[in-house]
Amino acid sequence: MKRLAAALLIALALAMVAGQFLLPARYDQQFRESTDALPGGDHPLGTDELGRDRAARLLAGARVSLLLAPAASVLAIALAAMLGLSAGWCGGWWDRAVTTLIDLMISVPIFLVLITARAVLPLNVSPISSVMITFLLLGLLGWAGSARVIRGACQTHLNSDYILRALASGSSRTRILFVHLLPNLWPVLRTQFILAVPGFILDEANLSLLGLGVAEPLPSLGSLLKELTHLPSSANWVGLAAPALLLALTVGAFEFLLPPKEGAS
Amino acid sequence: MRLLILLMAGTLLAADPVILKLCLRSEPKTFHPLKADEEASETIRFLTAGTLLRINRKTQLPEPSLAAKWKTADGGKTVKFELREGLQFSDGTPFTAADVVYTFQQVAAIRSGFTDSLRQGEATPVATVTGKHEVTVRFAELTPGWERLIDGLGMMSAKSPSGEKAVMGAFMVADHKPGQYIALGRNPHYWVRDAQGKALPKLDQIRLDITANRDLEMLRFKRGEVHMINKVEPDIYQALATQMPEAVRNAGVSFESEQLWFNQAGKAPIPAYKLEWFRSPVFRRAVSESIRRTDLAKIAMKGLAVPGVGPVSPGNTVWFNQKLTADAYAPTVALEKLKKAGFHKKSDGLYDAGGHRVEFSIVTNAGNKTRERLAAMIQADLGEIGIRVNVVTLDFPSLLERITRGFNYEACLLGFTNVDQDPNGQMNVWLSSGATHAWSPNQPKPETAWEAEIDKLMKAQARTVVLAKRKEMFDRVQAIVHKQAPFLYLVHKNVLTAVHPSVRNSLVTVLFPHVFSNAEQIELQGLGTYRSAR
Amino acid sequence: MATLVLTGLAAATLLRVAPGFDVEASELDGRTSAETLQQMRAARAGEQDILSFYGRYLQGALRGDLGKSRSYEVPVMGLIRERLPVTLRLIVLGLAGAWTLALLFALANVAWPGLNTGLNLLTAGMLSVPAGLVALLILIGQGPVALGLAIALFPKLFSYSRGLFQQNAAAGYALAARARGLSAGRYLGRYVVWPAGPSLLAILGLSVNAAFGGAILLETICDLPGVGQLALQAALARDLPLLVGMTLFVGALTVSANAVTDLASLYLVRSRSGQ
Repeated sequence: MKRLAAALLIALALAMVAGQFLLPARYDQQFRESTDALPGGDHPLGTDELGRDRAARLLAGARVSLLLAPAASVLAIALAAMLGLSAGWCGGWWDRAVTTLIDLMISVPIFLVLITARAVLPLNVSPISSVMITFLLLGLLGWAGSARVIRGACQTHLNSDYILRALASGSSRTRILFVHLLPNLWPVLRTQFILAVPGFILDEANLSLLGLGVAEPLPSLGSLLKELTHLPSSANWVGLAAPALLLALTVGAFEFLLPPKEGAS
Repeated sequence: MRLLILLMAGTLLAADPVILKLCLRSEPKTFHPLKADEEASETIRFLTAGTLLRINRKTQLPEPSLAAKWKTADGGKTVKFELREGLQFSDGTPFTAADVVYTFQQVAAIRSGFTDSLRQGEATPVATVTGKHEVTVRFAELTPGWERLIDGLGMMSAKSPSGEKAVMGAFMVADHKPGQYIALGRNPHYWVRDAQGKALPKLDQIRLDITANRDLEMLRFKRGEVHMINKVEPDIYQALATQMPEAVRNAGVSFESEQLWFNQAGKAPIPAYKLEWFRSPVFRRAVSESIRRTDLAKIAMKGLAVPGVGPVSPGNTVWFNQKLTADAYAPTVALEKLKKAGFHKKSDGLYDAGGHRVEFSIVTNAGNKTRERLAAMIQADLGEIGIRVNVVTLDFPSLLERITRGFNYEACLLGFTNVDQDPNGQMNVWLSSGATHAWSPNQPKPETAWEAEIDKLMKAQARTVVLAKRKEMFDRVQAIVHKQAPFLYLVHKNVLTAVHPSVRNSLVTVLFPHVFSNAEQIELQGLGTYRSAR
Repeated sequence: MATLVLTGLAAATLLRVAPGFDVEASELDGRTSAETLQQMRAARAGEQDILSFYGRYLQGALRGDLGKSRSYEVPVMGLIRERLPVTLRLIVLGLAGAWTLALLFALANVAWPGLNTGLNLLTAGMLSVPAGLVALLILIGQGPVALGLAIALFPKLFSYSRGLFQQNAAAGYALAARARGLSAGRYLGRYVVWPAGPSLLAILGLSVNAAFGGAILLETICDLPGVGQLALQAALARDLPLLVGMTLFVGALTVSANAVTDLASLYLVRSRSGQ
C-alpha cells in the first residue's frame, strides 16, 4: 500500500510539473465557443462555464493547493506544537496564558481578522501572491485547536507510568522531552497535519467571500471544489468530481506514507 | 352514507388557508412605508400600502386608487385629489383627507432615500384639505413624473392607535419572525372588489420567507413550496427552463445594467499616473471597445441579457435614446487610439508614456457568480491588448467603504438595481455634486466640461413637464455619457421570473414587482375555488 | 471569566476596525441626499468609540441585556433565546452521531486491522468534500441537517480516536495483556479506550467548537433559524451588538465546555495515576 501511495504522489508531482506542457490548453484560456463542454476531444475533462479546460485548471489548482496547504499545515502544527507542548510541559502561569490565548483564538470570529487583513493588503497583488498570503494567514491563525489537543496529549503522557519511572530513575528533563515525550506525541502531530491539509485547502476557498484566497484567473483545488457546492449547471460529473477525487487520493496517500508511530514508548 | 359525504364536503369547504409563498433575499429593514428604500422593504410596502394612485405595471400609466380622480393646475405644480368615500384602514379607522395631509407631513419629518425623492431642496410637497373628500397637494417646484412618486407613497393614518401598522393595501403584516419570515394576512377592510363584486384579495396569506440561498429557493420552487421567484439568477433560470419550462417567464430587457467604472476622484489614494489614465476619455473608450459585450451577454449572462448601451436600457422604451448602440468590439481601433495618446504595446504588455505597465484592479462584490464571470471575461479581453487586470472580490461592506468613503479602489464592477424609469430618480448619480456620482462624487464644482453640461441638462429637464422636451435633453445626456464613458455599460439584464403552474392570474411585468403587481387578483389553483362566497 | 470579557472586547474591536463599519447600502441609492446620509451615519455615533461602547455593553450584559441588533431591530437576547433550541438540537444530534460512529469505527479498526485501507480512503474522501456539498445533498434529499453535521465532524473525530487507540494498542503493557489472553472486550476497554480518556475529552471540548462552526455553515445553507445564522449575519452586516452578544455567548459555551472537559480529564488523570 505504501508503495502504491508513493507511486501516486510521484505521478501527481510529475503531472503537475509536466502537465502544463503536455496539455494543449492553458488554465486561463477561455474557449468561448465551447463552454460547459463534456469530456472529449480537445478537453479530456471538459470545460467550465467560461470555456476553460478543466484538466489544465485541475493541474494548476493542484500545483497551488498541494504545495501551499502542506506548507501552511507545517507552520500551523509547528506553532501548535511549540505552544501546546510548552504549556503542557511548563504548567503554571505559562499554561494559563497559553490556554487563554487558545480560547480567545477559538471564540473570536477569525474572519474579522481576515477582513481587516484584506483591507490592509494592496489591491494589485498577483493571484499567486494573494493565495500565498492567504495560506500564510491560515497557517498563522489555524493552530489553536491543534495546540489544545497537543497540550492535552502532553499532559496525558507526562502523567503516565513510563515518564514517572524515567523521572524517578534520574533522567534529565531534556532527555525525557526528546527521548520519551516527543516520539509519543508524533501520532498526534501526524494526525493533525494530515487533517490540516484538506482543511486548509477547503478553507482557502471559503475565504474568497472576504477577498482573500486565489484570484482570477488562477484556480486552486479549493476554488474548483467550490463549484460542487451549488446546484450543477452541467451534466459533466467527471469534470466536476475530478478535483475531489484528486484531493481524496492525495490525502489518502499522505495517510499511508506517513508512519503512524515513530518508535515505541 | 349521505352523512359521510356531507361531513367530507364540510371539511373541504373549511379548506386550509390559501398561502402564496415567496422568498425575500434579505431581512426588510423597515415596515414603515416612508422609510422603505431597499427591495425587501419595498416589497412589503407594495403589498400592504394604499396609495392615491397606482401606476399600472402593464400599461405603465397611472390609474386611480384611493383617489378617484385628480386634476393638475398651475403648470403642474398643484394637484387636486378627489378621494373615495367610506374607506377604512386595516384596523377600521376611517380614511379621511386629514390622513393624506398627515402622510405628507410625515414625508417632511422623515429622512430616507424615498422621502428624498419627494424632496426638492429642503422642501417637500405640502398637502391641504380643500373639501370634504378633497386634498390639494402643492409641490415646491415643478415635479415631472410626480405620478410615479405618489405611486410609492403609502397612506398613513393620523388617528389610528396602531400607527404605521394601519394600512390600506390588499394585505397587512400578520406575523414577523426576524431573519425567518414575514406573514402577510388579508386586509379585512380592503376596498377593491373583483368583477363579480367579491372582496379582494383572493389569497388568504402571502408568506415571505427570508432566504439568501438561491439553490434552496429553486429546490423549494420545484417542489411547490415556493410559488414565485421575483428575480431569478441566470444560472437558475437556465436550469429551470430545462426542468420546468412552463414555469419560467422572461419579460424582456429590464431597466437594470451591470457596469464598470474607473475611479476619478481627486482624493483617491492611487498613483497619480493611474488617475491620469482613468481621467482620460480616450483610455476609457479604448477599454470599452476592447470588451466583447456579445460574449458577456451570451456566456456570463447565459444569453439572458443584451450588450450594454448607456444609462438607459433599451427596455425603457420611453426614455431610451434610439440613436445609441453598444460599443462594437474593435480592439485594433482601440490600440490605435491609445498609441496616439502616448501608450505603446510591448511584447509583455501595454505601457503608458511614462513607462508604467498598464495594470489595474477591478473590485466587485463576492458571492455574485454573474459578476465574477463578467470580471473574469473582461480580464481575458483586456489581456489581449496588453492590459493586466486583477480581480478582487470583496464582502459588500468592505466594497462600499472603498467606493464611498476611502476611494481606495481603481475600477469597480457593480450593477445598479431598482433603477427608476424616470431619470429624475437618478439625479444624484448624474449631478456632479451628487453623492452617488460614483466615479467622483460630491464635486464642489464640475471637474470637467462634459460633467458641467450634464449638470445643466439634468437641471433643465427637471424644470419642465413636457415629455418631448425632457426626452430631448436627456437624450443629449445619454449621448454624452456614451461618448465620455464614465460608466462602461456592460450588459442590460433581462427580467427573469418564475411562476409555479399552480398560480393563476399572475402578471409578469418589466416594472417592479415583476410577478405580483396584481397580488390581489392572484389565486392558487385548486385551493382557491373551494373558498366559500363572502 | 476574564477570558470571556477579553474575547468580547477583541471581537468588538475587530469589527470596529474592519472596513465598512459604518457604511450603509443607501449610499449607493441615487435618491439619497447628502443630508440624509449624514443623519444615517450619525445614527451609529454611539458605536464609534469602541471602549466606551464595550463598557456600556458589558454593564447591560450583566443585567441580561445584550443590546439590540442593528440588522433585525430586536433585542439580541430575544433572538438568541428564540433560536438557541434549534442550534442546540443540531449540535447535540450531530455530535452524538459523529462521536458514536467515530468511536465505533476506530475500535473496529483496532480490532480488525484489515479495515485500515478502506477506512483511510473513506476518511480521505470525506475530508476532501466541502461541507457545502454535504449541505446541498442534504437539501436535495430533504434529509435531517444533523446528519450533515455528523458527516462533517466524523472524519476528524475518527482520525483522532483511531490514532489514540492504535497508539494505546501498540503500547508494551497492552500487547502484554493481550498476549496473556485477556478477552477482547476487556482488552479494548481497559487498555485501548480508557487510557485515551483525557485526550478524548480534550477533543470533545474542541469538537463542540467545531460543531458550532459547522452549525453556522449548515444553518446558513439549509436555512435553519438557529444562532449560527446570526453569527455569520453579524459579521457580514457589521452588526456590532449582535456580534458582541454572539461572541460572548459562544465564548461562554467554549469556556464552559473546555472547563468541564479539563476538569473531567484532570480527574481521570489523577485517578489513573493513583492506580
